[in-house]
Amino acid sequence: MGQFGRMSESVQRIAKPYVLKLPKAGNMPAEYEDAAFVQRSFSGFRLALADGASAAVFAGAWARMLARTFVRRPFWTAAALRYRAQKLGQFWRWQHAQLELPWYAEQKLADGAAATLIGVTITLPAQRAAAGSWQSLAVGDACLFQMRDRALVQMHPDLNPAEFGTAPALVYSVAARNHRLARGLAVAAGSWRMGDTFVLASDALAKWIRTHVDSGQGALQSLYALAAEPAAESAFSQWALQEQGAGRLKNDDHTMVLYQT
Amino acid sequence: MTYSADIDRKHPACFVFLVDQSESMAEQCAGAEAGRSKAEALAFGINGNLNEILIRCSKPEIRDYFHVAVIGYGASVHSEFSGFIPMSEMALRARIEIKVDPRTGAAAKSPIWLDAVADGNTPMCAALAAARSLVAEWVSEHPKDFPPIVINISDGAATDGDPAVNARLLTAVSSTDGAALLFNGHLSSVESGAIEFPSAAENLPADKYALKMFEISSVIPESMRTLAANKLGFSIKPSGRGMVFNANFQAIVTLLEIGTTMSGPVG
Repeated sequence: MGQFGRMSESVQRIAKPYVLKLPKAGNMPAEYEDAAFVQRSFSGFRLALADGASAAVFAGAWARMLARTFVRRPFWTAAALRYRAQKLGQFWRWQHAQLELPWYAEQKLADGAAATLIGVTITLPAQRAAAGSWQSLAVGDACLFQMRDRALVQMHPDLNPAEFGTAPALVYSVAARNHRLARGLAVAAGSWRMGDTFVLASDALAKWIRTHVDSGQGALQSLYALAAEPAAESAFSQWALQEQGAGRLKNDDHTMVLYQT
Repeated sequence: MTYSADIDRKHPACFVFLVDQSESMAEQCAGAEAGRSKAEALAFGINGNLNEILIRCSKPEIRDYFHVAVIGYGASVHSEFSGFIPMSEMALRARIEIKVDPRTGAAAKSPIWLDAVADGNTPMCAALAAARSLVAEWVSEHPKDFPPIVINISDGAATDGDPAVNARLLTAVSSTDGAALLFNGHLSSVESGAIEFPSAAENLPADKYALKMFEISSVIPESMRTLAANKLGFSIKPSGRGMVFNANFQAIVTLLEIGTTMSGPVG
């Protein structure tokens, strides 16, 4: 069997990543402004999560464009992201300019949209016993966690709980606003072994995860269990309401991409 | 921590603008605003600020994150909108004028809610009392929400008594998230010597009116100072008060912006 065959066999043994999405409590499902996409590639999986800035108009559409474009053709430099954001931004503007908008929305459309972004490519090992590799790109405070049992192997970006939510770096749909993107973009890489879990999380959820990982009580296992339930969305919703009610989780759109290797 | 309540449609915040419409507001502005009256400059600034608040609420439909009241005081003390109205209603009440930029020729839609008025005395005490009634009623209906913010812009001293009494009553109104805030701006006819967000009475000239404004102006809460720095790039000292004195028009606009920038992304 050649290289291609071994890799395909390896991919088939790997469970599929899954995505949980939950709009902010009190908002309609249509008002959800995060986005998450998963794409299987020749060598593994590509996962991306974008969190539309709620201050902007049509931020959900912008988040979807960014996350989708990452999983289709990942990019790793500020120049490449700026170029892609410029093209997507032109399309975003054109698409929404076709709508009949009231005067105040026309003015807001000119300001553009913005989103944070975390994207990762996970490359599967050629042989089951070997280590795989991953590489991720982050702009802002949506995060990637690589977990091994109850221990955090790596977090990207490596933020402490106090660093969430205060003016995160954003990818803008208006090209002129992306001039400082190089400062806000970070790329990380690592290796993984079978049994590791990757979690992508939007900011409020990432803050919760970081806080609970730091406490060392293995609370993240409860999130894995939610994703495995038959009615995972409903279980996730109940869990989030409980945590929000207890003041441990900010009321926000919540999105999680979970990949247990 | 106070002044940190989330602002959303179920937990909206409110602003009250107190607008001096006394006779002296017919005087010409100085500096860059020369050629128009203080009343015109102030109406322009408040209309612009209301438009910014409205645009912040557009998703693209208007979400009622904020409710606004405008109280004019001059020949009478009157509420422009009969108390608070939500931003969705503000959008309906706008009179749209097309303004052409003389330099570029570009046309832009400009919403108008407040016209320039200059008539009568300066009954600031009565205006503060009217604002107190409004915010007390608001807080009784929103006891846990972000506290009301009152922004008072005038070009002179009160002609109906000591405003400190009613200012104290106004800022004694509290939600569980903090006391109502009172910010004051003195619109000057002169271009120099503006004092912005002073943190101590010693920073002010020995002027009775300046000291009175300092006395009645609220300390800007930490959460708002942080947002002013992050969003507007404007640094304010920790005990800085919501006050600009002897200010040109741009400083008044900054006061309006800082006064109404009290939440991150809302939703």
